[in-house]
Amino acid sequence: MKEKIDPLKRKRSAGFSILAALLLIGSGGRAQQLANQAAPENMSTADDSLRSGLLLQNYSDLYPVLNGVRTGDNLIESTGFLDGRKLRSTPATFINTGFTGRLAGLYTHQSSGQPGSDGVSLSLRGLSPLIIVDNIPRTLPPWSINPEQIESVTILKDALSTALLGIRGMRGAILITTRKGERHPGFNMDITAQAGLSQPVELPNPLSAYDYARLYNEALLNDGQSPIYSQADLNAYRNNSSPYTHPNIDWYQRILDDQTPFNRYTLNAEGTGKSVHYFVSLDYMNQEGLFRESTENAYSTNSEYQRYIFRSNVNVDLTPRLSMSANLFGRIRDANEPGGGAANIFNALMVTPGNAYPIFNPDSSLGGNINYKNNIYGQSIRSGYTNNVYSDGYVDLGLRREMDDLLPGWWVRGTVSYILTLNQSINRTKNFETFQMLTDPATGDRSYRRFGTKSEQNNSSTVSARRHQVYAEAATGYTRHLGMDKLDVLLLYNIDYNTLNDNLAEKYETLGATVQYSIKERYLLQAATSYSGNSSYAPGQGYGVFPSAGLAWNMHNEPFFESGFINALKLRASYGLTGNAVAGYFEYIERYAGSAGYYLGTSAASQPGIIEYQGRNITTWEKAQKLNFGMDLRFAGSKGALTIDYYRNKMSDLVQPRGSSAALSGYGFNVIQNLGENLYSGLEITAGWAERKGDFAYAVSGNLTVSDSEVLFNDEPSYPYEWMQRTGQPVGQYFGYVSDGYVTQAGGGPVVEGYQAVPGDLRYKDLNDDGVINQFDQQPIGNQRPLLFYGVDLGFSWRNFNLSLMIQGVSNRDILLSGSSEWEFQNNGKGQAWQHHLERWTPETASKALYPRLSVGTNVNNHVRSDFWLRPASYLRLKNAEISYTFDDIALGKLKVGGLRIFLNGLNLLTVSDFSQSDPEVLPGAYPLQRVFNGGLTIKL
Amino acid sequence: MKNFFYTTIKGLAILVIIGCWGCQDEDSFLDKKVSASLNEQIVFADSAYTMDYLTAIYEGLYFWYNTGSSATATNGSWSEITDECETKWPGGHNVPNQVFDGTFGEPFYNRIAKLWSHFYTRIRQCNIYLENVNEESPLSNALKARTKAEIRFLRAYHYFLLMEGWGGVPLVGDTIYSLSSPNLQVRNSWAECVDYIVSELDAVAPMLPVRYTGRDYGRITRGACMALKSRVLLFAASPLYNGGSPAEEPALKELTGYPSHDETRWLKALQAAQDVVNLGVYELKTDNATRPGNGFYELFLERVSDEIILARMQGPNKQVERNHLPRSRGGNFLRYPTQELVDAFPMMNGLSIESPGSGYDPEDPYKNRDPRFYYTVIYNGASYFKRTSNQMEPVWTYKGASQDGLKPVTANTGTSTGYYSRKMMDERVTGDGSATTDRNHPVLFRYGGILLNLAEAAVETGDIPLAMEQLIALRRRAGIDPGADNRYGLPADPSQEEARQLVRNERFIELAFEMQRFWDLKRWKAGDWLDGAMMHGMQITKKGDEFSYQRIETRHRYFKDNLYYFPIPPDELAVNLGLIQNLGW
Repeated sequence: MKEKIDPLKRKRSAGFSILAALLLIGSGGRAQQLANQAAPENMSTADDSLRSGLLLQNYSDLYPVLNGVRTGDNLIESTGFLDGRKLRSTPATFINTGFTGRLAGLYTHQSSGQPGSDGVSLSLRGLSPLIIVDNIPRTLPPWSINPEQIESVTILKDALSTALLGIRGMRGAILITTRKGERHPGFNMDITAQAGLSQPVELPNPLSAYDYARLYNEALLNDGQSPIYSQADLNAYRNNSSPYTHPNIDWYQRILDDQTPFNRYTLNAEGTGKSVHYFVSLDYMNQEGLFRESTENAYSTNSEYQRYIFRSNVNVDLTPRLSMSANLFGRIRDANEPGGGAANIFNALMVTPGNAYPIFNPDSSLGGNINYKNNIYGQSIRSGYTNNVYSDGYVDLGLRREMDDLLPGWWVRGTVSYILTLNQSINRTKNFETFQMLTDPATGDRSYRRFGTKSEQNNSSTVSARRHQVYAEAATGYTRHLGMDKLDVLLLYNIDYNTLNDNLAEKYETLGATVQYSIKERYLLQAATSYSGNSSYAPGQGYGVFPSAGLAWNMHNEPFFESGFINALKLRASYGLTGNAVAGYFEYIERYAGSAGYYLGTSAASQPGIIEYQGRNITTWEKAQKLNFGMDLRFAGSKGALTIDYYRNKMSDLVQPRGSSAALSGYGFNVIQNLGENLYSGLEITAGWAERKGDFAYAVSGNLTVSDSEVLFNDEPSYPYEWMQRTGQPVGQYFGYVSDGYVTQAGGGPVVEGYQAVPGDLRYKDLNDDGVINQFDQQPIGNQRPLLFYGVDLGFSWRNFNLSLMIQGVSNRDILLSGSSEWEFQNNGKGQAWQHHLERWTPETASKALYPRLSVGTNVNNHVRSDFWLRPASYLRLKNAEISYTFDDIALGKLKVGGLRIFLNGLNLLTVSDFSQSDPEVLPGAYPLQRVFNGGLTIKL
Repeated sequence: MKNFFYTTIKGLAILVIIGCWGCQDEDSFLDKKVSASLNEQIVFADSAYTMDYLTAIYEGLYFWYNTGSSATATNGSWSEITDECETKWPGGHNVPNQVFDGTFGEPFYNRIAKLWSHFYTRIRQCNIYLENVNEESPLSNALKARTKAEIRFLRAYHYFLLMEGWGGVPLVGDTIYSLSSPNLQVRNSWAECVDYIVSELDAVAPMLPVRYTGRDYGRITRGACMALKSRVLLFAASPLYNGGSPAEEPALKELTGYPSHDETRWLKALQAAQDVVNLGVYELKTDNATRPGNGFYELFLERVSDEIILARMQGPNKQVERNHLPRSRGGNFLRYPTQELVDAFPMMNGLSIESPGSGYDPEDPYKNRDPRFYYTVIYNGASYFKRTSNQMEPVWTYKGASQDGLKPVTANTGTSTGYYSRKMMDERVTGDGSATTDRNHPVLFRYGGILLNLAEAAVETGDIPLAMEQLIALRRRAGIDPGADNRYGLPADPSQEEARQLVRNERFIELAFEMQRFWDLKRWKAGDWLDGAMMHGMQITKKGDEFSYQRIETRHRYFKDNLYYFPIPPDELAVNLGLIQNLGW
């Protein structure tokens, strides 16, 4: 048997703590569980850092997987690990923002920067993963928590790793393990206080009132109508000479602040005693929103997010063989927003031109007119507020008995969890009135026309959602060493009741087993199967068997293996069948439903109707056959590590509308059914390097994911032209017209059928040469290459200074522009126009125009889906950076503290993108992406 | 060792107990415990639910989007592609404009697909009823027999609507398809479809009552069966279907009409219309005492009527007022009657406006016209109730009149012909008020229409006096002056061709906006006449108190051969490869 790699020499230096965080690369290790961690989490040792940073650094380390832990040597599943400490440098309310760029295979997309909604959407190998906290799939929103309570994050990618999830394993899973305080002797406590500022990364660029009016006239002329702004009007807009009748308002500037504060305080305590270990965390966070407020209100009209969290994880050994665990979690999220609604206001900011109305009239009343009755200032300041309080929490109770008195290696465990969510909404909104100033041209007398009606402030509350979940699980396991071989068996049974509001509970039931056999630590065989069901299917059709198997070869444990440049090499493969329960709420039984009534009778009285319900016909769960090959490598004295995974997931019975259907059957055209087949495949590479030279240490890790997909079957009609076919294209491929320059003369073309073109309209390619542009001329547009995303994590440390940088990027990505943020004068001409409209087509600029001729309202030829509106939106972001300095044991007056760390960090610091019009992730009209600068200190007591 | 087994068994017992926690009920763990929801068994095991199911099929009675459902509101109706009216909406995404341009894009295809699928969905629902209302149904035997007859009428009616659109269509019989079962089927010939509908109607008519009372009023009667049969046989005898299909390929020709002409089909049509008359339960609503033609006006405002044979029953409503009244009356002014329709109305003396001695004055064109004109069209100066002033007031449509004045054909802000529609409206009801009328709307079959069927068949079979008799009846009710010869302006001895034109014109004005014109033009094979024709409006100029009148052009019409039959939806063709597409699609 080969020699174990020497553990790195232990040298206590808190200065390396940040390096620790830096080095925790994607598929990498999580070594501290076995390490001697005398220091609290924030100040773990440099040795930990280096070890935890490198993939497969120590094959005897334990990695959390579903329902247990495995040593690196025994890991056959395709997984990814992230140390919880990596999440602490990300100043965001949702911790999953910290996943971005750090885990191969996990694609993230952030679509809003709103406090309390600034999380990312996650896509694991093309599907939205199941979220599991401490082995239990939870219904409560998982991401708005303080990162300090996270021990680690494991992503479960292949069929083998999710086999015990049964009918809900197909989407993959993210397993969060919270801190339990193991291996931290005595009492350890630290307190962190931090404060920061966040500011919009980018706001849209509307036109000034003058440019707006000028272009509006031009658009009207283009449409064959007369201009509505006279030269005097234009002059007034340009000179701001008559702000009440000719306002010029930069709404974003008037309604929003430039920046907004953020602060968070957290206290963590943990320890291990003789028969107990525990972790307790208290956290308070406050994030203000961007809306300006007014002293006229006694209350806040900002969108403000406050959060209180309590966690207590306690484990007590009741007898030498019987232990009990109790995990408590409680959280209150208190989200305030202006009565007009934050999303509505952001939409109004986007669609309201600068000349729409003055904010205030000369008599101080709010401005408005027939087209714009909702003054934005009124919406944000004079509409009261709405308060949403989300309270949730859970209790997990577990008992575990080691049965080794009867059979060495045998244990039994029972777990019960109760999870409760209550969302309450308090409505303290009110209505306001706006006035249009009218001046009599003869006398100059002013009069006002009123819009809307003022109302008293509401005071009502509603419970918007009540959800509770009961989860119970019994498990038993057995581990037996047979000479050099080892047998590991796990058998479990669980039930899960989910109840939303007044619905009957949706239930899951799963019986599962895993067997792993290891031969001489070289060859690993594992099989896992579950029998699992969901209550939303018809009786007798809700259960399935989900088998999977895997094998691995630890080449470095072979006698012939010579440890040279390569120190360790493992090859692994897995294959399995997975399922995804997607039936709606008892839809199988509700095949008939009430419908519109009919007025039979000599006197009109509605008689009720009942019809066959035809919208959906989901008879089974979605399925995927998942194949995964992987390789783990360590080299150069274990300073370097590399993991490569290739997967090929073939999905079937995907729930989709039928692409074609004989309506003769009486089922209509678009019944949702189990019919789609898609293929997802990809390559995930994670590599890292860490080295220490004297006082200087550095670590680099990176990951790269290539993610491809293909529609294999969607039951689409056989279209007359090959280019119309969705089959064979990537999943979600955009289809549309192909633009072909601008129309040069009136009535020219080709343009959308029935449309009378004027010069400057978009011209489209007539793919089938039939003389008209219609649905037969729509083909795949934009990128058809696989999505590519990557992250690079850099860390440097010199003595007690630390610096970390997280760079992340996405390639082969397109965005489709549409709506009021892209097109001019939408909403029947009431909409806004933007800086990019200055680049429009005019007869003079025909050769270099970047935008078609302007029109008022929706233009049925130009404003349709075509490649003209599709823009490459690859980007590279400096997502996260942190610099810190750590003082070793210091005395503050008479108080001696165990350590003090000062840090500065930031989020979304720098973005490079080939899409220049706005941020490539959060598009105009949404709450903008925030750039955050944050600083604080941690004291260890 | 004994201890080991004991503890093992204890451990397993715990697992089993936990495991069976959810299984302790009779049902398995996942089964739903309480159910208030419905399925096929529950619905048809309960007499009230069964009747509700039937009610929902009535609710789906369809009328080709012609009177302005929400779908029509932005997308035009079939009426607007005829010479009856102009469309409100400019632009290529409006179905009528797509027809005028001959472009037929997505909105057109979407509407066609929706109709096709709607009708087959209704046919499926009918078949489900027929299968499930069996010996085990809790309905009484009499009710079973009657409701099944109603259902068979409704199924035949939906087939007829399919035939109007597409010609011969696949007949699915009593088959209820499941989503997984193959549902491939070819089109049945036109003759087979006609025979099927007629045999169904003949079979169920005797099972149905002649009248209903109380809560059942509005259900399918024997008269409704006979009226539908009259309409089917009228179509079967009409030029397009009676050997006149433009298709040349024998297979398609047989699907889109009878392969050859047969005069005797008119005799069948004549007999079918005569049968409705002979039933003796219907009469024309007549009231010339209140004011001329008041019966024609009030016919559409009654919930219980002796003229209406079948209508889509609704509660009190103002649907037609809200959709079609001009802006000043709170309506959405969805269609503008053409000058062609206005000109088709005779004078009060029954003479056409071109006839010598008609008394028509081009400088005062709305004076002394057929009273039906005044209940069909809002013209410049026509009086209509105004909610804000709470009285009858003139509607002004002259050029430049505020609100309701003439607008260009490219605008969607008011009439482009100088006219608005008021057919079937209650003049006390406006689009913006809360007032409604308890009426049947829309009317699917009425006695007046049957008389026109009879007149048309009589002309074609050479019985001109019989045809004229029907027109006289209609004109008498309309409030036209009988004249000295008591012929209501009709010539004493018209030729067959003259009589044919008189009947067709009478049908045009009597049934204006009653979802007939498009189908009539089709079956008369009038495409050659309408295709390319320019429609007209009236531009009225006001000078002082004087008006001057000038005819203006609006839009060209399209009626090429492909419009005689709709395209079978491409999605359907893709599945049912054996379906033959109609000509020109």
